[in-house]
Amino acid sequence: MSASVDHFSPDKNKLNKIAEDILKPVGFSKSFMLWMGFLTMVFLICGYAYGIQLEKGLIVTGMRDFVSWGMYIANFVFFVAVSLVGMLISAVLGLIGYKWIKPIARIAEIVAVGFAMVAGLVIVVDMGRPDRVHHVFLYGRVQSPILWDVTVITTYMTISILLYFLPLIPDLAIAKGRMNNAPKWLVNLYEILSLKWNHSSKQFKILMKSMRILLILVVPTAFGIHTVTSWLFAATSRSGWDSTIFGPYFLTGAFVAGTAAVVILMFFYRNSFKLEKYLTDDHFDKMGKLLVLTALVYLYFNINEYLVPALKMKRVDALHLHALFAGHHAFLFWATQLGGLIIPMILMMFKPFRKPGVLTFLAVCVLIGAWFKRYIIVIPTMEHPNLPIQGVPEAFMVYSPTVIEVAVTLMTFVMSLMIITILSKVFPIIPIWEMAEEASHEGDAEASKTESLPAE
Amino acid sequence: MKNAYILAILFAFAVLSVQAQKSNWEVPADKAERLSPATFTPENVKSGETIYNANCVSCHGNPGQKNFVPLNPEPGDPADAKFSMNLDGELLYKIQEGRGAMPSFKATLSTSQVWDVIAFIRTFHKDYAQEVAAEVIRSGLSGGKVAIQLVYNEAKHTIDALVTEVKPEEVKAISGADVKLFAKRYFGEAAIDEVKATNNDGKVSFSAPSDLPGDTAGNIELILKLVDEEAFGEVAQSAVLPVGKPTITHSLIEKRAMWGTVQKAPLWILFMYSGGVLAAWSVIFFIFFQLRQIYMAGKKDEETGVVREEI
Repeated sequence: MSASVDHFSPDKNKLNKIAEDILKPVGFSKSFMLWMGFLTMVFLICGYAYGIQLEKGLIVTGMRDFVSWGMYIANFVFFVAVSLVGMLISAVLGLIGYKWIKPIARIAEIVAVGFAMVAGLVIVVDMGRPDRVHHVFLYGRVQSPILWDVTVITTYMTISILLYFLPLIPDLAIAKGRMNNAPKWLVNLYEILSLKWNHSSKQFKILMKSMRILLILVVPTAFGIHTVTSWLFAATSRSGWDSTIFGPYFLTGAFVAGTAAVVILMFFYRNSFKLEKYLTDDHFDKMGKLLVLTALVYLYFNINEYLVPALKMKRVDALHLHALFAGHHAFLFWATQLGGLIIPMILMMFKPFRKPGVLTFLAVCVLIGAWFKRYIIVIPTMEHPNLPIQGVPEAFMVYSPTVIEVAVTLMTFVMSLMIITILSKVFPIIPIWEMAEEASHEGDAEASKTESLPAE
Repeated sequence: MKNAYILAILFAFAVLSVQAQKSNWEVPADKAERLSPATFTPENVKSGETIYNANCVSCHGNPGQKNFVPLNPEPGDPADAKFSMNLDGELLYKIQEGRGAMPSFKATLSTSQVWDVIAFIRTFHKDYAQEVAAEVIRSGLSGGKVAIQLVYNEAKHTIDALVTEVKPEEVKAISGADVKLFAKRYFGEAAIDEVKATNNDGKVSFSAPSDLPGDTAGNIELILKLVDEEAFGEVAQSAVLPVGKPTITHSLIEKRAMWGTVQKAPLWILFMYSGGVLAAWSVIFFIFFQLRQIYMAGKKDEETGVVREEI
């Protein structure tokens, strides 16, 4: 959103049309009920799996003495990564002044909120004694990256919620008077959350100032959240994690994953919510270019992260690198690097591959690749401790996730999807007032052009 | 000249390594023929097993199970022919002297303890029949018992010993007897100074080391042994004397450190963390306050009846 507006006087007709388009999908439709019913069912089944884990402990997972971080931690890193896109789109691109991100910014914030909220829970499912989670605050040590992680995730989540909510306030006020068929509770909710917004320039001034502050604050916080997550690994001396570039490596990877997630959601909203006019081919084209850019930067960090140790082949690193390049994890490694990064990136460099459908397909490849990439970062290192493993059961040496682990991981995705679904059905997903303002400006620009003609 | 040094060093290494690889472990004839002064009893075997498990099992494994550590040269299983072919005296010599990776146990185990170990090992050798020393060794004593007094002379920084033979009717100085001084360490005993003979008054003086770490008060347990076990038997006297340097250890969690609890966290990290949290959250609370301002502005307009254009 642009930070320059202090007065809101849109073209009435255009506003009405935009509000009508964007508010149409709001509300609990039949398909929403079906979809939520499906999600709830999956959630209950997976919740049952978590119940088993709660009762019997982490022994029901594939984690043992040596591989004590498994799919859950990989999944946690993925969730944190995806949530970072809110910062990239709203803050980095927004502060630079790109106007095309306006209809996408709220989608990016929904992704940020949905994934950041669940990221904390993903950590809790990795705990053997979740009933002691408050001990982190009681006995947490400020020297430990784990406490920093808890702190910074909470902070980022709060800022993301605010960044989602603040630009929503004028929309809620606009929507209030137009929700004729909406249930009473929704109207009441809008009434409360719109905070007596009346489009006065005083309110706009406060809103703009707050947004500007938040957009600046979210940049270091987002950098902090994923850098600290990377330090959970890089603060140890284990091969594969003992790296000085882990912070930027994680950050750039996060932008790739998050951008892909936003593209997928954009495609869904465009088709299901009939928003082709607002999420245009041009938006997909630009998001495709953004994905290429982030993928290129990430590829650069990948080359550094793997090539430099591979050239040196220190003895402790060699075991780990061989497992990735040609050993036990080779398939997954090359599949994520090629199928999840390099090939989609090269394809997206060409315009036909940035069309909505194709781009979404490639984004799905990238997102799946991104998830498995986290798996590749976490597990192989765990399988090669610095001291040799001797005389332990086979299950201790090689990790493979159990059905329960997969189910619980699926549960976290379902939770995230539920949050995203509810947010996108309860509130408009495209900023009405910003679009209306934009449209009015276009009108003004045209008008001023015609006006200025005689003077030439 | 430099090359000559290098050549000499290489040559020395070559000779040493050839010697180390020699499979024959030559034991001097007089030592090889040495026999235990007494017949091995089940008590000897039992004590030998305990000593074996404490000192030998880590490399040689359990006798008969061939689970020794795969080193080069391999330590071998004491139940094997390689061991059983040795005479008692040869085993005693090899255990006491050591070679290469096999440590010397002279300072760690007494001669009778080594005999116990041999008694234990011999239970695994089927065809072994013990020979006992035939002649009783001439005693250096004339019917009395050896008494040793150890004192620390702080002025001269020496450890003085008085070795006497105590009989009911008299106390006689033992002169010309070789004695050795040890300090008790975690593993075995460390020799101090060199072997010295007592003078005519039965006295002997060792120069005390100046850098030997003792306990917090600088106390060290010292042991004086008579070298000629055949003449005097196994005689050793220990005494705790303040000859060492006091060792004052500091707890690693005494001061603020990265590994301490949060109460003992380094100040810089405490400030950075709390500073960061405070900065971020004060901004967040400021935003909450701003939201309230928006609400208040709207409410005020409502109350004052300012009618805005319906949007």
